[in-house]
Amino acid sequence: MIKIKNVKKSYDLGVSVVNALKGVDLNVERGDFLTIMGASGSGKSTLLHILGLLDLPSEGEYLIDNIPVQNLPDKELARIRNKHFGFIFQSFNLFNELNALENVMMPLIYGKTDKKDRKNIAVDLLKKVGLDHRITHYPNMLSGGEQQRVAIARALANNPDLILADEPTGNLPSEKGAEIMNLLIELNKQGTTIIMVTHDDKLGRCGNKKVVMKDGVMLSHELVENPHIPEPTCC
Amino acid sequence: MLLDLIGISFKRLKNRMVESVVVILSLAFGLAVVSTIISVIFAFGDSLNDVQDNPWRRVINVYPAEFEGADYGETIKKIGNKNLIEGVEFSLEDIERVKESCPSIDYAYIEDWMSLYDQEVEDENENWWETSPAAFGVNNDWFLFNKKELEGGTFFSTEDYINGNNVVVLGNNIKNLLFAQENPIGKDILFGDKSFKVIGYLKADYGDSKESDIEERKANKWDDNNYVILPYSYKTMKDGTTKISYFSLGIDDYNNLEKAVEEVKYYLNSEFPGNGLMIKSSLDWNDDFDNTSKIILRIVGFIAATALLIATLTNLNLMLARVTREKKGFGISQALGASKAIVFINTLLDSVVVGFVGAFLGLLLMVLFTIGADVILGSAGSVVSATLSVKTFVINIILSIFITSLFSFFPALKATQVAPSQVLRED
Repeated sequence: MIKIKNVKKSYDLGVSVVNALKGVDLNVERGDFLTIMGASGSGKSTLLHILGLLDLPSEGEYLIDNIPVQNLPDKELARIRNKHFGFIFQSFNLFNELNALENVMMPLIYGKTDKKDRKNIAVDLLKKVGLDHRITHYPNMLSGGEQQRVAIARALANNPDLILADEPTGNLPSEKGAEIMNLLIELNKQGTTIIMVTHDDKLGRCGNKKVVMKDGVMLSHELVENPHIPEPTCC
Repeated sequence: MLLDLIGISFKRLKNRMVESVVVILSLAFGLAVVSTIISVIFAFGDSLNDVQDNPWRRVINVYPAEFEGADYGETIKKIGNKNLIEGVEFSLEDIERVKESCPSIDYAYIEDWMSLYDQEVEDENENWWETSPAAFGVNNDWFLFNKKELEGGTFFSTEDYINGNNVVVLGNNIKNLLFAQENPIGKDILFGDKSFKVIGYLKADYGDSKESDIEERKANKWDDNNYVILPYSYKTMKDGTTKISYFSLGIDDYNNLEKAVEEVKYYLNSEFPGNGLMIKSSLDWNDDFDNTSKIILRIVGFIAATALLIATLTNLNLMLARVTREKKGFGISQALGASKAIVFINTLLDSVVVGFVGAFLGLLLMVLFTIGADVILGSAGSVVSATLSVKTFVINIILSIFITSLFSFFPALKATQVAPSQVLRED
């Protein structure tokens, strides 16, 4: 599904150049649950952003279904992000001026989904994440766990092939974090590919593949001991 | 999608209430001030066009150079003192000849205060003479040029002019005051010990004056309706002088004024060389007015431009600050599938919505300000009135679109330069 070859990323800070990625190779297959682990500054978020087309590599090749994408125009990259990818962030990143339903509808608006279908899809997704009673609530009226579930519903809005999650439980208490992980595992079971960045060892074992990053280099790329989709209770 | 984005922009406006109110009010106030100034300027132009039809805009005055700088009071004083200025050598025939020789001239008339009932009044500095009120010496062209119509009787005859007969034509109000409902024709009126026979009286002429203004005019002895009009030659006969202090030439069409002035100058300079005649028309006044109005327009334009500049810069600053503050939102939008073009439109719409509300409020304020300006101008006695017109509304809308574009474009452009990977890692 996704293949990156010798991807490098450097940031020119004027006085110095930071090499965030120093030649990374990675294959992500459909149905994978890949976790990316590493300490702060290891390059795991940079890798996730490049995989999610939020950033482009300075060097190397990025292929989706064997088609190079890094030279595509902005409009096409936006279309891929909208139709094929879903993002979940550590701090939820909901729009505060919009209620839960409207937040979930945003990718559908950008994707030009029919107006009449938008609401139905968004309501169904909020139902799926257990928030059908909170659809008119604004983010500041929701708990952290509820906000992250709205963010997951939003990530699923266009029925993406891949969900990219950046420390999705990082801002949540452990029991709420477990709820969110169970949701992601359930989605993966249903066939959605997931790439998740975490620095938590326990969460790193939730996927079927694990990548460890250090100083912009991929230290290891291994299958998790249990090659099957992990049990939600593991977390 | 555009409608959805507009809806979201309105929600954002509500969410940032204080900031939005500041932007909207500054924009509304700036626009209203500028639009009101424009209303007044337009009204000024319209008023000028209106007054082109006023008789005084169609007059060319001819008088000796010594009169330059003298106002009516000084002129009256000299006439009242029976001490006419030396060097004025016009006769009634001279004046007639000017009219005949200058094809653009339609009327040649004389109008001068008559000294019928002098009374000495002493002020702090010197003794001076005040003429009897509103006694006016004219020739027949004066009636024609000023479009005076008789309600009863006749104008002066050639005989009256030649002999300087003691006859008068009365203004409508003075006739009513003196004779009420009686027919005054053939009756005598007295100025001191001088008796004059009434041969005619004019129709009431108050133009478009309001009811309250008419009452005020009736009480004013200098109003046309209170004139006691005599043949001009009465003065030349009774004073023992044949000099005419000055005369006026009139035209029917204001557009002929410039040509008429040229003709008169050419004729008088060739017929009366070296007499230092002053030939003045409203064209001279126009030059003065043009210079004055240019200065006023520059000042007003500077105030208006400053007001708008402040409003624009305030809004630009607030919008740029907002883009910086909310750059994470642009990153999120891009992560959700918004292209940079959508981010641009989205941010632009946020400003346009604010601009739209500000412009709407600005229009309402403009209506209020214009009414206020009209009241102020009216109470200051100005002939100019500030009026609302479709033109000012259109200008207001164009201005608001222009300003909104100014303070919307750069923030929107800045929003597209936000790198999502940068802002989204700042968790």
